[in-house]
Amino acid sequence: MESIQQLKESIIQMRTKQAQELTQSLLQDGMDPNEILNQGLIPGMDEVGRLFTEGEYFVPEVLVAAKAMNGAMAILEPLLSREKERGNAKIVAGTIEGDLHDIGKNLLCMMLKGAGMHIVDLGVDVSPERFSKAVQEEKPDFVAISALLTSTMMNIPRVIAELQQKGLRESVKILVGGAPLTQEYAQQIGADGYSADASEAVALVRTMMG
Amino acid sequence: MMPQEKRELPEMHAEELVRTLDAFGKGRNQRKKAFPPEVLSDAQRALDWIHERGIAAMLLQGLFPVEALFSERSVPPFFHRFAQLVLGILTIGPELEEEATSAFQRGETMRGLLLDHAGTMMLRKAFFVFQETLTPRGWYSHRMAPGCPGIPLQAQHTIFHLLEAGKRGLHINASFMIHPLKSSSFAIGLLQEGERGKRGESLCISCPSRAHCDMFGDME
Repeated sequence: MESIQQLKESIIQMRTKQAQELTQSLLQDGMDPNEILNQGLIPGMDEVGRLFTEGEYFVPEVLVAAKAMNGAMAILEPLLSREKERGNAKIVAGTIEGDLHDIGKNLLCMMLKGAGMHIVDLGVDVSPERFSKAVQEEKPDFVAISALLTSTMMNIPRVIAELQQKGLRESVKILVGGAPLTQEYAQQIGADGYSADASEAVALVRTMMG
Repeated sequence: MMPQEKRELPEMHAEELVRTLDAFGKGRNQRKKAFPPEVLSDAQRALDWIHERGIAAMLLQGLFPVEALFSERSVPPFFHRFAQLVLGILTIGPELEEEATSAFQRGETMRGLLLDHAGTMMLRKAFFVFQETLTPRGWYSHRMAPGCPGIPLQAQHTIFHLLEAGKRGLHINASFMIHPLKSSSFAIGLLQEGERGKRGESLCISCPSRAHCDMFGDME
């Protein structure tokens, strides 16, 4: 129990080597890989997210903590049951068609992955058809769409329309985010959720997953 | 073809790069405690890479009548003060952007983010250096750009084509985005003779976002 707390703390303190050593040690002690993930790594990243939200940690710290998390995950990954079986969300993410900005979307993917979710990153300039195809093939719980410009956010409703036309709209929840977007705009276009930043998105997905 | 000028990128230090990156976070630049050494090392490596590759800024600029920016529409009152406009695009090209994207794809998020941010900051600084060369000559020194109050986003296309930026390897898409992304368009007004030294009406007055804009009042 002490070690799992230490593992959590190693993520919060951004100590990659220690996180890896503790993960190995817990596995050798016979702890279930899913428990190591759910009781050590994810709570650690959750705390990092909280510190970021409160302004205590900034982006660089979040990135170093995520590196520590990923280092430990590299050891656990082959031993874990599939995400769906673990009950974690699967999310298809991408920057909307016409928009080539990927920083916000990359941070979102990193934070969601750090929270144990499975991410399918479609990249930037993603057309409604590509989002729709990914939903058909990947069967995600969520589609996360990012836009950085007022001129490109207008393309987000086209994704929703495309999913409706293909009969896929009810199978996924749609999350939107990016500098020019607001909660009001998300509601107006029929999205299911809006998040102002990557950390908030993690909490939003968890809430919506129930 | 419109001429282009090569401009060296301004100096930047690792600590400055990381500190300004915090503009993405909640604390803006108020942070007092030191950054993790690992982050500063990564920032220095990103800056060294930019220096070693000899990445520089390219400036396309020209002097145009005010009407050139507002074809098929009337010129907004704010622009009546100007005799002409300097229209320009400053770019640092695709190489840094490609390396940043590649870093993200390799899972090196920190490197990707630092490279991207370095590009943004250096482009910004390079613009200020250029702007300072105009100010002593009586140019209206405030930078305006498509999307600013009174300047439609479509003006991005106008500036792009007036400067023949396509012939210099730049691209623009239907959403008015110029590629490479580390490119920035601008307009600077040359004041009419009688307007020099006068304080003009703020562009912000006509902006629908003024109530919740961090920069309210800056556009004067």
